[in-house]
Amino acid sequence: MITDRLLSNRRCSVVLALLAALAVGSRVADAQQTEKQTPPEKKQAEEPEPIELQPYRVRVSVGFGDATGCTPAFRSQVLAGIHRVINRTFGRMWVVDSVESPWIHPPTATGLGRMTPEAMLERFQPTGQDKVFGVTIGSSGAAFVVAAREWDAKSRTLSDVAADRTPRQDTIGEVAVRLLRRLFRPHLELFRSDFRDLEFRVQAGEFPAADPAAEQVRKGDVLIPYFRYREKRDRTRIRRVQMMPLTYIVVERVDRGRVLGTILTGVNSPFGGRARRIDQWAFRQRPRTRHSKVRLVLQTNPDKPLLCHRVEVVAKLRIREQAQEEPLKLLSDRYGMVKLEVRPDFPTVWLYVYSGKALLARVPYAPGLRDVETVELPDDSIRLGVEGEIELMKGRLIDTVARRAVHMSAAKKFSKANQWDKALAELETMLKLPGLDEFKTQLTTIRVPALEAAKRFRVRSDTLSTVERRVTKHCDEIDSVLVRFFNPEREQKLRQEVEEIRSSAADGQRR
Amino acid sequence: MTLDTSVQPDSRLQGLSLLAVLLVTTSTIARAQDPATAGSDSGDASTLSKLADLRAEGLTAEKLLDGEMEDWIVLKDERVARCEPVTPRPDTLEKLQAIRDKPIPQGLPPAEREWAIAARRNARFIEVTLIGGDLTEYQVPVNEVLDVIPHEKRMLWLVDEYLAEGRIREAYDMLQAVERRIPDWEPTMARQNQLLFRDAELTRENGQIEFALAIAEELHSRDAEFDGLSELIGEIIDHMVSRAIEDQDYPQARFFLTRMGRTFPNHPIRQEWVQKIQSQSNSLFARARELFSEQEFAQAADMAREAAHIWPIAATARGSYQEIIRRYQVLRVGVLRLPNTPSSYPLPTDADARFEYLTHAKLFEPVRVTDVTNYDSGFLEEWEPGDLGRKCVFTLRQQRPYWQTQPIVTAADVVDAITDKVDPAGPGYDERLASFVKSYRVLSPYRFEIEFTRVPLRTEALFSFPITRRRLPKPTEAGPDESPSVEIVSKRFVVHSRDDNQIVYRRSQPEPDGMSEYHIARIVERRYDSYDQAVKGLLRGEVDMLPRLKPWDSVDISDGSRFFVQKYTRPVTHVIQFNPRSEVLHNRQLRQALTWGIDREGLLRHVVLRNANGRGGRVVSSPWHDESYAGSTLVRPRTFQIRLAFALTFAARRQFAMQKRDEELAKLSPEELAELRETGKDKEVPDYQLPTMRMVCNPDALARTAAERIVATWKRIGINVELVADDASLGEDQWDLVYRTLRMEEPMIGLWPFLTIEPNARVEALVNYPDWLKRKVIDLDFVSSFRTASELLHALHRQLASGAYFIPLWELDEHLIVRRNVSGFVPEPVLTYQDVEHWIMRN
Repeated sequence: MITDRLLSNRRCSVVLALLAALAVGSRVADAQQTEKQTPPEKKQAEEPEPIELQPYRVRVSVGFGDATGCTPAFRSQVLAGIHRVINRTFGRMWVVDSVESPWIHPPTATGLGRMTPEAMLERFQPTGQDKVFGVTIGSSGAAFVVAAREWDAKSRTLSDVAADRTPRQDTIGEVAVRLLRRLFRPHLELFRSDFRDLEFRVQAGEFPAADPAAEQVRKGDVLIPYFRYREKRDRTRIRRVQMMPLTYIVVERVDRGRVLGTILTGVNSPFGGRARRIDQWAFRQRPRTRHSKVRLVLQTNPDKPLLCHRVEVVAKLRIREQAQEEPLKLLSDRYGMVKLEVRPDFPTVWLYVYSGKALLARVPYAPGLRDVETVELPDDSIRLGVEGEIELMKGRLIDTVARRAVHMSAAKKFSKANQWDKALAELETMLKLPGLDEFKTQLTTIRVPALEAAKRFRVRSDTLSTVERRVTKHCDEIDSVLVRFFNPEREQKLRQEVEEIRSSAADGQRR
Repeated sequence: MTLDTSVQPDSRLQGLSLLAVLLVTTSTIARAQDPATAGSDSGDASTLSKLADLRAEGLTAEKLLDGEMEDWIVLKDERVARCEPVTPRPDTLEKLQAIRDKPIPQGLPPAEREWAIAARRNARFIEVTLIGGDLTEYQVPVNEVLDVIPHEKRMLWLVDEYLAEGRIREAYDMLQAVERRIPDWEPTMARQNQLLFRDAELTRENGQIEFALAIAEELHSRDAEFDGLSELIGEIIDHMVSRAIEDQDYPQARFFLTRMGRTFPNHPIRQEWVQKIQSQSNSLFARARELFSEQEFAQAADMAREAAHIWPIAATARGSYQEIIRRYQVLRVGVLRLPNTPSSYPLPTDADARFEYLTHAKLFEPVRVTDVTNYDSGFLEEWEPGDLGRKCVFTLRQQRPYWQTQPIVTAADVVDAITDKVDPAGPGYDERLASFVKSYRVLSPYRFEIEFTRVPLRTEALFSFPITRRRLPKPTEAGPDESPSVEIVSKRFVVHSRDDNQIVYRRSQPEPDGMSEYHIARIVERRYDSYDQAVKGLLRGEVDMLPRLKPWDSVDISDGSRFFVQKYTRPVTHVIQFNPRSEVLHNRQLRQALTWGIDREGLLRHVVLRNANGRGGRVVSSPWHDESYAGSTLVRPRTFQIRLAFALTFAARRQFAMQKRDEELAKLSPEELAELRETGKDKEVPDYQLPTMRMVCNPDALARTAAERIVATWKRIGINVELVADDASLGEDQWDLVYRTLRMEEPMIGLWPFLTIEPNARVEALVNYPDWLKRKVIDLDFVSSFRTASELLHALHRQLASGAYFIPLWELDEHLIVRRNVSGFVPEPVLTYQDVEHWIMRN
């Protein structure tokens, strides 16, 4: 079993980690002395140490709103309260310093919402912090409003803003730390991979949280993977961070600092492969809302939402698994959005997006992590255009076939009644109806421009694009219908019947 | 047979030679008369019956009408000789006397003089042919005769009897028989008057008072002095007037009094009623004047109208009456349906559209239709697009004309309304508008700016909604909070009162005092049970306007000089639509069969328009009007092809049958299936009957009649459709087809809601349509040029027609009719009450 194989080297890593841990405490204490420090990447390069033994260096910057009317004593009391609760909750996992923030403007949830990743990177990269939490304390009526937001230095991303309120001053710390716990996104570094199964090392994984509720990773958690590209010349520096769209890792097993998970992706993701100068990381994120939205847009024009597309939500872990229940059927709205509820039993689901009967995309999705996730889909308008034109042709075809039957039966009826003129008139009308050639020509006028237009979707010039294949399939289907209706045997029989009636008519008229 | 006394002597002598001329005595007559002694000359006068005895024998209609005619010669001793009709007749004695008394003119030629003398001599006798016996022809001296009773007189005796017994019908028949035999006979005329009088009396006693009055009036025209007629008419009128007043039907009371004025104008009963009603009217009008001086204009106008309703206002008070009425004008409209009447028809009716226009003043409203629909706004001073159409700055009016009813709104009001529309959780959420609006901001109290996510092709059509305000949920005593809702801020009129027979709207903003001209302040929609009654109401003056005329009336009524007939700018289109949720109608063959199986041309000419040349209507191929930019010229309306429809029905039935067979086969076990395959029974197609579909229909009588005819034709091709009663209650999935009428203002905006049969364009509602169609309909919302929109609509027109996604029937030119005392209305209006707050009632 891949899981066991991956975990076989765990014990030796732990021994090394414990030895290294003795030194960590003193280094962390040094780190707290000043905000301006040596970048952590440089230090790691000098003294590589297991990530499981590296506690998070966390800065909690607290901003106080003017409306709170707080005094310096109140502020220091709150800061002390937050610090105390953090230590009580996270224990050795976090090395934290709690300071009053001069940079959150305004010191409210709005101010936190205005934070940008770029500004945070510029401000806090030199400090070497793993996490920076902006916290604001304000008041609303008789209650205190506490808001918080996380800045993650590894992924260089900001979390959403979370807020809560409390009527009591002495519980501000509790409330604030509850928010921090909710926003905290632990770091996981890819350790090894085997196709879809991945093993991660969790930062500070060997320091269990003092409060079990603050456990970093649990079975069933969803990890968001990303790449960290290092500079070519100075490998300690990170050139950029790249997030993986529509790619998730579902945690299947947790053993202290080691985590085993399965990658789910809707794209050809290189995550888990080997690459030089690229670190593969992930952070754990738990749903923070009860539902979230997926926005379907056109691949070639992301501003154009794809409306009225059928989306089937299949509750299963891996793509090849059989779903245990009927898929949930949704329809994208005017903004191309579908709304998905968070399910505790299935943190990730698979979305099958259809345009008519054509499957446009099959992607995993973890509801509740982000407010909106965008899925870019191929353009299906050419196929739909062909379908519309074929519908038009079908209408004409049905009419023609029915008319042929009607005129033929009328001609037979009149010939039996020796009403030769009427019989011949019916035949004449029938023979003027469009035949196979005309329909074939019409089909060609539909097929050729559509295939020409579909050529631009080719990935390689010698391979047909999906659109071309679909157009061809549609046209071939209607072509077979045409052949069935106007098959040579039937046509021959019809011609014979016509000739019989004509000869009978000639005889009858001579008599 | 009458004897012509001017007959020539030769012929007369010849005639006499044929007779056994006798000098008759009463005895000989008696002998001949008596059947017992008939044939012998013996006998005496005592055998003749007495007149009294004969009369006592009684008369029967059969004997008088079907038996031999006989006249009675009453002798001086009151005995009666029964004989064949004598000449001259009737009034034999008087006529013979006239012959005898006629002087012989001097200087006559001898022959003529001889004839004259002979005629005078002959006039001393009555020539009779007795009934029965051998010797039956006699001359009876006139001086022996007391009276000659002709057969017809005895018929009149029977008439008298019938009248006495109240047998009017028989009396009338008998009188007619007499009239036929002896035209203009004076006794007949007298009997006819008696008959009319008696008939009037009996009719009144039977409770048919109006008929009694009509009969009495007929009698009056024949004999105004007829004894008792004045009293009879007086009693009838008294009864009818008192009943009309009891019912508060003063026009009816006046009508009867006017009728009486033509017969007995000075009748005391009439005088009494006239005085009584007039005084009632006068006192009301006096009160109206008081109220007017107290500035209670609405009440004053109501009271003045009531007074005029009771009795016409005197010429001397006419000026002040006009003043009161013009200050508070009322438009009375005859309708066949009131708004929001429960119905199986799931779409808004004409009544609902009128209600909506009056009670919802929209930001933009259609005012003209040329190639496209033109909109205008009563709220906006101007609207200026910017940033190549991605933004638009709206400037609201800060003042309004005194006659306008809608309130002055601020930018905040409009922005609140837009917020309601774009908020997905809001009760007035409009998905389409929300998708266009990116942001909006208030620039000043009367200016606001909207930024669009994409450039809307018709901004006006998009913003054609009323100004609303969110009504916040309030806790109620009954329990939970009310659900949030919106209230309309921009109203032209508000509902003042409503009952089963009428709805009354009044201005939401009354006109201020001191204006030189006032406008309609109240609209009363009065419901009639039928179109004919509504037209009668219009002609009688009960109402001032009818919102819609029947196509065949639009010409007839307009010929009069009392009304204006206005043609609506856009025709109304009649369409049959399929419920997108109806499973059975997803079958294309069935839809096409239904489409081919309608004789549009025939129905239009003979049922709808009722004129052979098809004036006033056209068969169409689309739900929009025939000349719209959206119509493709390649699409022609389908003709009536019943054989083709039948063939397609057969094909559809076969398809359903095969589908059913496949479903049945899918339920079988592999063994059972293999067994069937061996025997070839798996290919057998079972018999299948199409299910009966249900069609709901616009409550308009004309639409319903057409729908009935269409359903009957479909039945002939084997498709059973049940026309749902108007008052039935159905869920949205419980019907398959709907016969609807509509005016599609803007096809590029209206097609989507039309296809989904919903008021707004919702993506979710398109779910039952094929993807290519969905895509095109959605693309229509995203087009940025009119040309692209037209091309897309043309393509959609062709494809929708080919797939028979609905059945366009015909479009009709519609007209409204309004009395000539109404002015200020819009010629060729788009809507019934267009600009109604500017209309004026002249009296």
